[in-house]
This record gives sequence, C-alpha cells and structure tokens, in this order.
Amino acid sequence: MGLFNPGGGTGDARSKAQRLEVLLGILGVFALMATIQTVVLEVRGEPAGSSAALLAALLLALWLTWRARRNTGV
Amino acid sequence: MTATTAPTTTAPAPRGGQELHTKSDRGAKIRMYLGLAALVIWGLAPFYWMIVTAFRDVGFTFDTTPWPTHVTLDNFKTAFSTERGNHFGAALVHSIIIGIVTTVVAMLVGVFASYALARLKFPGKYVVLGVILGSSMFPGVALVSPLFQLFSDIGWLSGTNYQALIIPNISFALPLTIYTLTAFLAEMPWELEESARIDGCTPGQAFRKIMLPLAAPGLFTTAILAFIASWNEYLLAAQFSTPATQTVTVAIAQFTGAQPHQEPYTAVMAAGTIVTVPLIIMVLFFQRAIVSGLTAGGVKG
Repeated sequence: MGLFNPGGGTGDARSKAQRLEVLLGILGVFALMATIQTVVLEVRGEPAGSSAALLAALLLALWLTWRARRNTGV
Repeated sequence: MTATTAPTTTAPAPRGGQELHTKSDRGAKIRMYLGLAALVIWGLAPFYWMIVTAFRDVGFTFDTTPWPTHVTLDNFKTAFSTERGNHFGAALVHSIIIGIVTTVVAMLVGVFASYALARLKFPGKYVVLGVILGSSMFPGVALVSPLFQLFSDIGWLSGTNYQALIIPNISFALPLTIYTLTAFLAEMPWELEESARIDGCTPGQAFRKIMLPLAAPGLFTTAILAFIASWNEYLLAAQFSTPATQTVTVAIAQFTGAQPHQEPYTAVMAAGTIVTVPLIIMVLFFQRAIVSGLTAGGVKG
C-alpha cells in the first residue's frame, strides 16, 4: 500500500489504474530520454539503430500500458 | 483433603513454568544483545579502524594492533597542510556551501511538490509520481558525459562555478526529498488543515502556520538525508569540480604522499574522520526529530 503503490493487494480497478499511471510515468521518462538520444544521433549522422530499437520497444511498452490503463474503465 | 492437596500439587508447577519462562526470556535477551553487538561491531568497525589509523604515526600505518598505538596528531596537520598541493580545508568549505545550497533548494521545491502530491487530487498525479520515480532510477554515470559537454560549452568548468555541482546534485536530491516528504505529509491528518481553514486561514496560511510546523520532524529528516547525499557525492564532483570548487570527497581522493606513488593512508584516514564528524554531530543533534520523521507513516505506509 502507500502513495507509491496505490491500493497494493486490493485488486480494485481504481488502484490498478493508479499503478498503471505510475508505470506510464516511469516508462515515459525513459522513452523521452531514448527519443532525445535517437534524434541527436540521427541529426549528427551517427549510427542510431540500437537507440531506435530501444525507443521502439519503450514506445510499445508505453502503448500497451496506456491501453491497459484505458481498459480499466476508471 | 482434595481442597488442601490441590494447591500443594499445583503450586510448584507455575513456579517451575515461571522459572522456565524467565530462563527462556533471559536466553532471548542474551541472543538479542549478542545480535545487536554483532550489528554494532559490523557497522562501526570500519569507522573505528579509520579513527585508530588517523591517530597512528605514519611510520606504523600498517600496524595491525587493534587499539590505538603510537598516537599522534600529525596526520590531521598533514591533512590540512597545503605543502603537497592538497587543499582539504578549502574543500571542506566548498562541500558545506554546495551541501547547504543543494539542501535548501531541494527542500524548497520538494516541500511544495510533495504537498501537492500528498494532498491534492488532480489528473495525472500518479503519472507525475512515476516520472519522479523514473528520473531517480536514471543512472548518474549516464549523465556525466552529456553534462560535461554541456557545462564545458557554457563555461561552467572553470573558476568558481558552484552551479556545475549544485544543479546536478539537486536533481539527485529532489526525488529523495519528494519521496520522504510525500509519505510523511500523506499521513498527516486532514482535519487540522480544515480546522485552520474554518478558523479563517487562507490555504497558504494553513500550510505555513499549521502544516509546516507539524511536519518539522519530516522536514529535518529529509533535509539531513539530502545534505548527506550531497556531502558524500563523488562521481559528479570528480568530473565537474575545479580547484576552486573541489569538494572533500574529491580532495581526499587526490591526496598526495611525501613521495611519488605513495598513498598517504594515515592522512586520508584523518581527513575521513574530520569529514564524518559534522554528519555525526548533525545526526546526534537532530536525533529525536530524525527518528520520529523516519518512523512517521511507517504503520500505514
């Protein structure tokens, strides 16, 4: 339980939505960093394949989390 | 007959049980104190050895006698001496400046952020919490190269540019202050603030005059944790400090001995002892506030 693990163990929809929002925030930070890194590498003309792959994986995880959050119906 | 024999037969049993109980109590106590002693020795042994070596003559640096021998204060003189290019005294001042500014700014920003997170309901509140958690998960070493490039481009890596150390330190101290204060403020009773509002306080006055004084233990704890984090920081300080802003952790790491490639262990230990003292004094001074601040919110979590 607690602010950083809202409704931990209770299993209700609101708590699940809040936990997914925390996850969205965490993934969002890393996705933002990966975006900046990929853009900088692309602009400089340096190899950006691994950065772009990481960004794609993070965006996919972000989208899945967002979809799960939306499906909670809260 | 039965009435008279019953007490005589039953009376010794509880006494024996009590004895057993007392024995097991004593055994548990002994085990507990042994465990505590082991923990204290485990935790304090490195500090004890640091202090013993700090007071030991340099000629007996590697003497393994477990108690102080060949006691001298020369190592402290050496630590503060500038003859070999060490600037430990100045570094202490730099560390204090950086620590205090970092703590004050992190507390100023952190107290408002955590109050909003603990008290207010707004959309995306948990996303903000996630962002704070995510940013604190980011490894510090990954920031060194880009920050070095940035600071060198804007000319912060020369002269007395304390901001090159303070700003990155704040970014590490801020999530810490927000976690601690949010958990603390979330456990404070709403009714106090509501009563203040009913009595005519504005939201700002209720926060300043009612909530902040009540949150003092949490604020002290958080401030001390932020100060300690800044005081002990080495990675960024080693990269971004100049001779004019060098912190104690960097100054100690750069201590030079009487001869090339000679590590001045005794002087390093003396400097380590001096660096630890302000923290110990601060923690002892605010001990009561720290304990109540750390345990607050521990039950409901």
